[in-house]
Amino acid sequence: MGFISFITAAIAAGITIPALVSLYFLKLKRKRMVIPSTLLWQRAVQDLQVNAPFQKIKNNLLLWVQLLLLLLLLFAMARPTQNAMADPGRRVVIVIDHSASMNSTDVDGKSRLEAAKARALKVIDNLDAGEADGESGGAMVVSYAHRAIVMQDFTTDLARVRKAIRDIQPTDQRSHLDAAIAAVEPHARQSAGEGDMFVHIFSDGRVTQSTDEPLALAKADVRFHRIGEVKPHGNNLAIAALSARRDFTKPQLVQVYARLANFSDKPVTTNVQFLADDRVLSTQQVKVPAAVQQASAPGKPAAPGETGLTFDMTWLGDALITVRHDHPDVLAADNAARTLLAPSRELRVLMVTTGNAYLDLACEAADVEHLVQMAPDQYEKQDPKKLRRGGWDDAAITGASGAAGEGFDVIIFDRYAPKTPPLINSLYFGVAPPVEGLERKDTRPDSPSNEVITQWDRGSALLRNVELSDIPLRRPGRLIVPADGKVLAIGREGPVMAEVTRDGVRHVVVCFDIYESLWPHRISFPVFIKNALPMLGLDGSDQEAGIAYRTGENAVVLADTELDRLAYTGPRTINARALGTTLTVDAFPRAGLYETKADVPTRYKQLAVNLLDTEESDPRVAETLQIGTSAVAGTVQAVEVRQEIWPWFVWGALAVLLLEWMVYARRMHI
Amino acid sequence: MTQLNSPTRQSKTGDLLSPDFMRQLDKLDVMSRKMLRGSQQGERRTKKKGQSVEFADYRSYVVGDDLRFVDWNLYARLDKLFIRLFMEEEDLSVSLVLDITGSMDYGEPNKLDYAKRLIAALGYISLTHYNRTSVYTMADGLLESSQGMRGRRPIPQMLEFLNRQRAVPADAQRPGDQTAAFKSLSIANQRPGVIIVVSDFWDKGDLGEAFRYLAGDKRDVYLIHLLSPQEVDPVRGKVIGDLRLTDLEDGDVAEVSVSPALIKKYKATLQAYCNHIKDAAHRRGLAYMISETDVPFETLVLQYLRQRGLLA
Repeated sequence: MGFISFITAAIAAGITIPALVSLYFLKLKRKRMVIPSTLLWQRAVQDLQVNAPFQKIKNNLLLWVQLLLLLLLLFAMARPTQNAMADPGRRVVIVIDHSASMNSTDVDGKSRLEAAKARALKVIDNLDAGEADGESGGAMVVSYAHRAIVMQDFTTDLARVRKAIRDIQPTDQRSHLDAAIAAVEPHARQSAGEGDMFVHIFSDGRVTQSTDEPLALAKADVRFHRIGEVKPHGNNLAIAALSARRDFTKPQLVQVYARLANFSDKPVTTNVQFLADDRVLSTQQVKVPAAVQQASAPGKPAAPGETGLTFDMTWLGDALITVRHDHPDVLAADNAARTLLAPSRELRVLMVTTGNAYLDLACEAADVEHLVQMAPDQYEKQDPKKLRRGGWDDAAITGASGAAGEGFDVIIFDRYAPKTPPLINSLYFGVAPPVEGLERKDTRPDSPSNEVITQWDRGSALLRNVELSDIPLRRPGRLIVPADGKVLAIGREGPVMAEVTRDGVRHVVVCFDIYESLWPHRISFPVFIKNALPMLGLDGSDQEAGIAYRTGENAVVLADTELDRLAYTGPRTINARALGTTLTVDAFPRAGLYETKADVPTRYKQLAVNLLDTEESDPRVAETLQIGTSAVAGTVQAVEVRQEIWPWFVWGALAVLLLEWMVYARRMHI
Repeated sequence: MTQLNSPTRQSKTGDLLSPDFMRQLDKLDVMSRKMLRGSQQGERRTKKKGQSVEFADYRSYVVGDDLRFVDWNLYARLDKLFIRLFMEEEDLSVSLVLDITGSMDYGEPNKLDYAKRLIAALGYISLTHYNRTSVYTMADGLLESSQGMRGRRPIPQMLEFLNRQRAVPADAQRPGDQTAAFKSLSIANQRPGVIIVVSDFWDKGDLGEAFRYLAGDKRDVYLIHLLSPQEVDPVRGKVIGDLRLTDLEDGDVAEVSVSPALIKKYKATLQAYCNHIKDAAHRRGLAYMISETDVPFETLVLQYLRQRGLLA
């Protein structure tokens, strides 16, 4: 048995025990009373003392009881422990996973995160013992989910470490252990020697390795505290996917699609509700099959049983579409998913050109009903903000059409580069917009004049069904694409098509003039326009669809006016960082609906955030954790924890207190 | 300060003895276990052969005897002269001693009041039977006395004397001293007779030594030991807990933590103390009787003292 706070208790004992005893030695405040004679009392007292050599002790039974009570309390104060095993002299890093799967309530009715925090606190209690020996190396606390947060840098103040552990909040984000390892790794590298640093990772092992070459903690001793029980199945039914999209030709028709994943070993029958603006539109009873073990991968965990279901509805305006099921399971975050459906609208396109028949034809082929053409000089006279939807003033523009109050969803710049980047998603032909890092270079004079596109991104939604292999280009030039840009097609000299996003505005650049190519003569050109315009014009989707974010993502809000601050309230309050009229919302910590009362466009008033992550919805606990190139096996009780036994002493003290009361009452009552 | 002694009270004469009770007392007389000589002719037989009507014995005639007492009938039968002897009836000297030390002013009922009533009753009985009656008070010695009373006439005087008595306040220099008191009494009253002492006998000296002064062939001594219920059972007097006890006689202080064990010990010590007084009294030929003040006064006088032979 050891003591954690022995010195404190010893000091307290040094003060309280003499104080208690002296109270008995000091004269009591006695009640005065007269009696006929003290003769017999003196004799009786003498007799009692003479007859019993330990009469003092007997007389002061109350003193002994009180001393016992005090000793028990002092023992409790010294915090006695059993099975002590401290790690003196070591620096300890507490890494706690607070991703979505850690919210599973399958550890004695508590969430895994609560269990992880409790076990981390026990490790810190061990450090307490080390500190009592004056050898503790301090501790650091890191929490991780989508990103890692250093809750507390290295400190020997264990109260702050405990507070940092208690302050870790649950999230519904995906778990990226690499981020945590990256935060710890510099400290491990600076360690004096092997085994100098102890890294305790508290997780259920459901982590995502986001890099091909995982970081390693070479000098650190890593222990994986597995939270939860390893089972082949888990009781969770998750909404793994949700989408809502309008019919392209009949935008009032909306199709909602949801996919349910069942991780248990039994089929689950549940009711799935489809709601629009909190109004239940449909309830479907669904049977989701059980998770099945893949015959091809016997060692791997069973794949969840999945069922997809759709719901068609007619809805013209905007709506918050919610899908939820009522099956009781261990994880609540994936029992509902939401998406915000924008009102149906028709694509409005502004073409800044001096005239381009090919583009006219292509827009016509793409069913663009609202096409406005504008000369470059006229464009430069416009207020860029007013060109956005809701800012259009047709009286100010020659040749304008369409109702007042509307604006444009997309701008096509034909061989004209605007002086400032537009605030609307744009498509450029033959020029590059003045975006930092993006530049168009002419083809070198000594190069052959004819080129072809040698490679393109067939996976991009912009180039879906677009065949670019047989298109001759004359001196197309090349693009210098910034690091965060996305190259769509490459010619002999370099990129010829690219996409760059700046401040939430997408710029798709085709660096060659279509008149200098045979592309307009190919079927791929109208297909590209038909792909690109809805995608750029209708909020980045190829069809009008519901907008939703995933936990851990950032949302970009384009405000009409400059805002100092923007806060969204929902499952948790989050803030947005402002840069002019563009605001970047912090990564969403939890799934749910976030709302703001700030003056932002309607589509940003509400933001729907979902988990939609089968990795995090999977409640099964991993047996090992991959760190670097080695797998660390999890242990249920990773360190032999000092179990504090002071509560027993407190109970004992209570019992003695009862005894003391009885002794006192017996003395005072005849 | 908690005290069970009563405040000083001004009793009327009638407070000590009620007329009804006095009528009952008329039937009683103070008895002596011994035949004692009186100085005057009274209502009591004595050892002395005298001139009463009660025949005692015969003896042979010697020259000089009064021929009036010769039994001529016996001379006719036996032809010898015998003198008839008769019992002499004399009065009895009754001395009543009242302890008025501070310790007597304690208890509920108050011991001093109770003792004064008892002395009054005994004095009344004694006086109504023409006994020579004296009343003494004692504390650290003999204090006052009312002596030489005889017949019914001095009854108010005696009651007035008793009413006047107050307990002596505690004085460390002059604690109760029964040895000194009894010594003074034996010097002051050498007349044969009955001595009745009413006291609580709280005396830190040697009571056996004190009783030595009372003992004697010519004296019939009765010791009446009075205790209040609070002394017999301290719990009734709320003597419990951590206390600073002050002696009512000498102001002595004792600090005690009164526990059930101590109470038990106290009771045993009290019993032993009473036995000690009784033994000391019996060794000296003194009669000892004990009573608590919660015994009704009438019961004590009319039953208890009669049973013990003091009254008849």
